[in-house]
Amino acid sequence: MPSPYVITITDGEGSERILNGSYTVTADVTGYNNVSITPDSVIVEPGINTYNFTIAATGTLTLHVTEDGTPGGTPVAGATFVRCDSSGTAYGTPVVSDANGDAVFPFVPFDAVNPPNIYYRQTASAPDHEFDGTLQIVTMTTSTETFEVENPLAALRTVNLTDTNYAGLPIESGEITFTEV
Amino acid sequence: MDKERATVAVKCIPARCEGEYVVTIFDALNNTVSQSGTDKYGKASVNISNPSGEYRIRVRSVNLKSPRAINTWLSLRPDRGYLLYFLFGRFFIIPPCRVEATFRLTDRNYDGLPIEKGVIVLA
Repeated sequence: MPSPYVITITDGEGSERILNGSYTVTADVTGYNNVSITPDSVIVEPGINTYNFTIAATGTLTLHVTEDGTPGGTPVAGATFVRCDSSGTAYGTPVVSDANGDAVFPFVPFDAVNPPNIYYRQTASAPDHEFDGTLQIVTMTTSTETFEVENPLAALRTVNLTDTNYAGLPIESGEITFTEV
Repeated sequence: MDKERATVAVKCIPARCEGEYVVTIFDALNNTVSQSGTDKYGKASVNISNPSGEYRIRVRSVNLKSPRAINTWLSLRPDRGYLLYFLFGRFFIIPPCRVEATFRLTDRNYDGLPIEKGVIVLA
């Protein structure tokens, strides 16, 4: 196939049989700033069969973390999130919610018509707060969007400790430690 | 030696097998006068009847040596013998001009994050 070569990228990678030579590089990636592709030229030469490019987006995704998952709820500081790919593998620097409950991912893709998927996962929360650690998917049709995230206070639970050999006899004082497995 | 003929002997190096090189002789009008393969020693000998003017001797390797062919030009005279040596690179593989290349596209601000869908155009 002669130049131009159109290489379809799926999950970050595409392959093509390319004649050795010098080429200018352009990108068509929905949701990203296509002129930001780097490098914008490449020399395809014998012995080098892998070529790496990067591209940047300009959107801002805010995850607003509250105890009830509503805009007016009690904010939760210290909730930690990380960007992922579709398989759940994490990339980049995690973001942490501030005193207002806002954790901000900068430079995320958006598109009014065909917004690309944005994957993220929560990895931690404030002490005594529960969170959903499964892979989440959102899309953005505008450059700045906010999504509500619920991190409820852990439920108050009662723990009883009695003597094994005297049924019901409460242990007067002591500690029990639960370690998550 | 026949006074009406010139003899062109060719020795190609390296030589490993019969027919490894093809020796072709062209006259001044680029007509093929002779074509033969070398023996297992890389040798070929060609008689040119009634030689006149300049001749081109082309030696081409049939396997991937460098260069693929060597040309030399000689003014042949009927009463002469000529011995020519042609040196080729040993076992040199000419790289393919078209390579199977993999292109990776990741997010600049999230190191290594693969772009899920898109197109790169090389022009």
